[in-house]
Amino acid sequence: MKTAARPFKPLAALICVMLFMALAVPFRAHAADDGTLTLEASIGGRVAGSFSWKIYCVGQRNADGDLELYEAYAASGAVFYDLRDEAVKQSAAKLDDFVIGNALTPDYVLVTREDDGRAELTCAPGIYFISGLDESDDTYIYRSAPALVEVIAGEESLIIPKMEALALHEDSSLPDDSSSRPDDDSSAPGGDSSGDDSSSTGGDSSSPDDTSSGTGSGDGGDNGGGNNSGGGNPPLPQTGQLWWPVPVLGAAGLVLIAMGVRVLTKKDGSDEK
Amino acid sequence: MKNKLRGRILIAAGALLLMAAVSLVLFNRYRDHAAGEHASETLVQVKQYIEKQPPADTSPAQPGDNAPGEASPDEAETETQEQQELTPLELDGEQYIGMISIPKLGIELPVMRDWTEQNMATAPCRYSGSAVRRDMVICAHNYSSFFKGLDTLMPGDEVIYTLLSGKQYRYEVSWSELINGWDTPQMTDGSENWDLTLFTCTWSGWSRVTVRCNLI
Repeated sequence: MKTAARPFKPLAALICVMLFMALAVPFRAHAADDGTLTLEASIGGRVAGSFSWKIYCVGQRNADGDLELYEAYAASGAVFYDLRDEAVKQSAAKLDDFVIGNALTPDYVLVTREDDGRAELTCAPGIYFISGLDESDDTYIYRSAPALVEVIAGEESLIIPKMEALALHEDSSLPDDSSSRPDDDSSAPGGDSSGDDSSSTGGDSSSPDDTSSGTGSGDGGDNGGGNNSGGGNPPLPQTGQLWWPVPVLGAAGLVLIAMGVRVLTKKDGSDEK
Repeated sequence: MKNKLRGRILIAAGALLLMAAVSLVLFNRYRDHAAGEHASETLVQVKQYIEKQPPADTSPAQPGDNAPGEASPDEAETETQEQQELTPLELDGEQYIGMISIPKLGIELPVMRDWTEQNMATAPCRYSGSAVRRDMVICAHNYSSFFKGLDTLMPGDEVIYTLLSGKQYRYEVSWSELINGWDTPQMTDGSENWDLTLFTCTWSGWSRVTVRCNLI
């Protein structure tokens, strides 16, 4: 038994390494009602310090309560009338391309602390675009997906969408600590967006599961691989009915019946003899 | 005696598998039929809504209306138009933004604003883009009443997409292709070469029958 287990030790070690690589590196942003924006990073449920983010103030609510971009970001193609998770992620990706392509200087750069993996910023009300910088340790490069957050001072914060973004080495399932964040619940889109009629139609918070797929899903093997909208795309929707098992089941059934009949007739033949 | 028992077990197992196959066929046909019925009922309501719209909005769109990619010289105007286009009509909690008609297949179906598994079981859905930006992608199940015959469309066949405002976009099929189910970028990229994309699954479900259309 011991000799049989030996070859599995390096294999087990390899699996552990692969599992670690596959761990999600989520960051969360939470906008408190006092205007404090808090960013938090963790790897596999433990805090991750020294993660950096570039933060750009990209827009605000207008008099009608609609979200709109500042002039400087208007050409990015990001839009806010559709607040579904996937649409917001697309807008964040567009802003990411835009700020990188135009070498725009961030309004803030936040670095999370080593001890608790957090970073705080007190900022004016507005829409903030958060772009994670690539971080690396000895072995891996991590990249968090770009995200958007709205800070509404003096009111319950609206976070767009549920503020989670995953790093390049992500798994679709979030680590356990994702459920231990009470502020996530209050941050569901549409919660306090009654003033925004467009978001009330598009911002249906009925699909929070979208966030788990993440825009930053990567190939895993290709560290630091640039754009989040690249290789790790979710598959196209399954638009087919389940037909292929029909001939498989049918053929297997017929084969079994034929075999059964053959066995029975063979027996009958031997009895006659 | 052992052989007899073995033979009976084999026949019973085979019969079970055959029954499973038949059940799956019946289930698929039921889903197909139910989806068709639901879509037909919804289509009536969507049509009624469209008919109530002022006639000024019903002029068909022309290829030169918007340039592909940038849509119009005025981005703000395009955004407004897109916002209007995507403002849904809500029917029993389902959000519809228009209807699609493919005369060759004899289908006329409402189109839902967002795709989810649940939505796609009842109607074709917008996968991405918009008609006004000329990069709209619509997906639907390969039900016989939905996009089953998509692979029979040939270049030149007509496809009509009607907004809730009544504005019609008339397209003709330019080409068809088969796209791997995981190749999301190939589905949405290159919209400068097409104005509308329709797709559905192949029989196996691994690939997507994709039809690219351009405005007439």
